[in-house]
Amino acid sequence: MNLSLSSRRLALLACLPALVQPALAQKPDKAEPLKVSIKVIPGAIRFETTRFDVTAGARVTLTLSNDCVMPHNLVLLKPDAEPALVAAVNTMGLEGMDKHFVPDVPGIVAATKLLQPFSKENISFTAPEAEGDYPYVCTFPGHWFTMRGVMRVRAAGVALAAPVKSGGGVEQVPDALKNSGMTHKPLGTPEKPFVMRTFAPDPGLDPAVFAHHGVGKDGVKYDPATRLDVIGKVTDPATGVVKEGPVVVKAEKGVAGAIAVNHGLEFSYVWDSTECRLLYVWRGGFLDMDTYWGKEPGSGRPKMYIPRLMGHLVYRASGPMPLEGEFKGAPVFLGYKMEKGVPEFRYRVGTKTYREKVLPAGAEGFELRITPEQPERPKAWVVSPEDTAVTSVRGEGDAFVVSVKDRPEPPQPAPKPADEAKTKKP
Amino acid sequence: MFSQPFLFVKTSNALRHPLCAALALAAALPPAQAQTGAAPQKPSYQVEEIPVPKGVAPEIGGLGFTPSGKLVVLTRRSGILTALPTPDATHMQWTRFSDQSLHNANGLFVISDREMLVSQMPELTRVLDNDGDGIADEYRTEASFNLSGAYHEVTAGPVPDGKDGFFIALNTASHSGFTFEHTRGLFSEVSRRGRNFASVQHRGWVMHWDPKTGLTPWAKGFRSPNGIQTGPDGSVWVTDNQGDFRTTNPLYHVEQGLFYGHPSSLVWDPAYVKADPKRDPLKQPMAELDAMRAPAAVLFPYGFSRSPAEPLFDTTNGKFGPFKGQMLVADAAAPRIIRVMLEKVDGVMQGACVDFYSHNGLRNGSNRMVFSPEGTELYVGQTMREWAGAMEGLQRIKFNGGSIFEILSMHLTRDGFELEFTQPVDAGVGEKPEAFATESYWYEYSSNYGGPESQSEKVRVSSVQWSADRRKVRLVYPKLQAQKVIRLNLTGFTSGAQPLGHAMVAYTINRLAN
Ligand SMILES: [Cu+2]
Repeated sequence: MNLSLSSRRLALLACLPALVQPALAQKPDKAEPLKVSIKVIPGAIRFETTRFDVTAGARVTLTLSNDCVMPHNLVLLKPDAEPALVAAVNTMGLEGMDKHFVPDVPGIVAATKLLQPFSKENISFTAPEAEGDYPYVCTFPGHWFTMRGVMRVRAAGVALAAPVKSGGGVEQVPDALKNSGMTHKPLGTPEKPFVMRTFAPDPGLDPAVFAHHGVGKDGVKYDPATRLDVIGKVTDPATGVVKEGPVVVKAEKGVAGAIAVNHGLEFSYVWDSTECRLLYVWRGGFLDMDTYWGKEPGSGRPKMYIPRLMGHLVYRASGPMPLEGEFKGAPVFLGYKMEKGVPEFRYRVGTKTYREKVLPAGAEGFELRITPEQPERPKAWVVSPEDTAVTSVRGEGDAFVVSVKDRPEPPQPAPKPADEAKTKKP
Repeated sequence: MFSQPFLFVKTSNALRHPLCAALALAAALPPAQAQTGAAPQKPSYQVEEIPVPKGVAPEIGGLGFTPSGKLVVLTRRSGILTALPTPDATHMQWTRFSDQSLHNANGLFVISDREMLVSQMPELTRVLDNDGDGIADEYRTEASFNLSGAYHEVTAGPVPDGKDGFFIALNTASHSGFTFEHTRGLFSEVSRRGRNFASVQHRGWVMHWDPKTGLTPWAKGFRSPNGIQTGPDGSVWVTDNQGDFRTTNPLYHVEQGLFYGHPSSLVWDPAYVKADPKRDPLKQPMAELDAMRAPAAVLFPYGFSRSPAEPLFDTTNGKFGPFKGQMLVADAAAPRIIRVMLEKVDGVMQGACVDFYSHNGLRNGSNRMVFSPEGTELYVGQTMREWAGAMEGLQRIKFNGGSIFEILSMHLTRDGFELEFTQPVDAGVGEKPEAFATESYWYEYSSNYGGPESQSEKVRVSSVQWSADRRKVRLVYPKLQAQKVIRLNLTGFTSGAQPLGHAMVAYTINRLAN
């Protein structure tokens, strides 16, 4: 059956050169064939491309891709050949399957096989010499009502228009995310702080702060096809010498289990659910989520996967956890309650459980309010020698309050162009 | 609280669907009949768009219903919303049950109006409304998940184990993401290698959690298990995504302790590294890994399924159509919901997949699904924010009744298959073996990122035998083999001139029937 189709196509091609001899003679013999790619819109019984232009007498390579669950073909016809073709297909019945629903009628310029789902085919043909509109249809019974387009044959020297593509069925569904009004620069208020668990920036904190984290090392680029590390030109950082070696992927600075809280433009902090402690405080803005979420819906993922700090740091933790002397092992984060809109974090160190709130105290400082859930008070709140920002620790009812004075740093850097959105495969 | 209905421009579903029905009809009928215009039947399944309030990113990570009938919508970065469903989907009165603190939340189990379990990147969290004002005031950590810092380390589940516990699936990291200098959880240099990798503990595992025993590893070898479900019989089902060590998209029937083919997770199996703590599964020969792995119950044809997400069993007992007990699978990168027909053969689960609903108003990106309490509607939540463009939102598929002509089941026999249809197939249709166009192929286990169908060949049916009521047909093949996908295309099948809704069906043979 395939044989009869291809021999018919051969016969067609064989008779065409005779018709187009004069035009062809003026063209270089080995001209690149014009490439046309036509997709089937899955489930829609339509071709994506509904019009394309070719130059009279040109060699054309047409690719039909069928990503639909139904079989389809593409039959290109002379301008007035459609009625006879339709009548002929109607008499074929299911036997038409064997002939790819391409009957033996005059007026067929080129035809693909009946393409099974998720397959494609390239066909080559010479465009007719006569200018005009040449329809193409899928001849699978019933499909030609909607599954059709036009090849326009233009005279040599006439500019060819870009192919016309139909929107397809999918785009009619509203883009709910784009219309959502979701902000990428969230802000809270002093009365109702904004709480967000997120990957957070690590502004170069003292590594001692991450005592209960794993030590993430640089990786090497890996090729799953060869199951080997990718080898490339690598610069030795010490000598500057370029040589062949495994391509290194640097470990990045970030906080995986962060809880970022914003009380409005003037007060933000990151409290870490892995270390169960305050990591840093900043003022003058919160987080720009573009570098994590992408600039806009559908723009793909950015390169960073970490938001950008806006404003300037006024505190960064250093040294071991202030309650480190009280326990062995890692602290355990137990969650948080919202108390009049403010989160109170709860964690266990050893056998002791504490609740902790972070609150702004004027424009130049803040407080940690820590409530032990057991009668015993911790022996000490230990800060590292360089952490001079802690000014006092005082008892207040069941709680003890740690007051910290701001130590303002220069503003955080503006975004780099390298943070632009980029779509990648997961 | 959102007490006012909000502005929403509705696309014309009313117009679109009858048109599509007419189109489908036209596709099946000879043109003379089609042109005289057969009255379009109301479609059996109809998609409705459900707008969510302004300011909410409608990226759906979980769906559920409270015992009082409220729809619960978990979003990946806008928290939890609830609403009592209304017949007019554009007029739901939404309440924000939680704040927006959850990090890429991607799994939900609703306990009551005041209590829900949510999985988010770093943990399993119990979200509680202690004072009963309708707004959560406590986020209690139930289990902590390790993170290397990759955006890809998302969760699926919790799904209930039928007792007091739950299952949760943990995705691996992708080489497109970051690894932090300070990782949440112990870091393995060995398992930092890989296209997708498990550099921190239990990435690529299905975990079990219950309040008494806490979080325990349960099954391993997963790459991107973005769908998990337990069946009414307690069986555990996980979908995974095509990629490295995944030639196509699989559905796994997951059993405790087994390995499902993606090797990175193995470094966190104490038995695997017992003799050599630095044992690298990426250096283990493919044949050995192949021998270790448990098979997929269903290998979805790639392209037909692009990114399978949550599976859901039809527990509506017929309220949602004739597919009682079967599984539906959302696809997060194709506008499609897949139907899966499962059976146990020689002690192993396997079965066939067919299109349930695609296009015709269904958005791309379906991630999570839940049936309405009445069972007549399927709520579908979408999100595919990561790389394939914007495909986010909330929809529901209504079952309108009417005649449905589909393949109801596909059952492997000793020498072929028995197909059952929802309606009698017209006499004169499917009489000859050629009417059952069959291909056979396999997906080779490979470390490559995806792969082609291999060993493809056309297979001829040697005999066709219809039941007297023409609802069932027995197909005999000269020789069936295990480790093959058999794909049938039933072109031109009709029932009272109604065309077969979905003609392609693909059956994964792990074991032959005796
Ligand atoms: Cu077609």
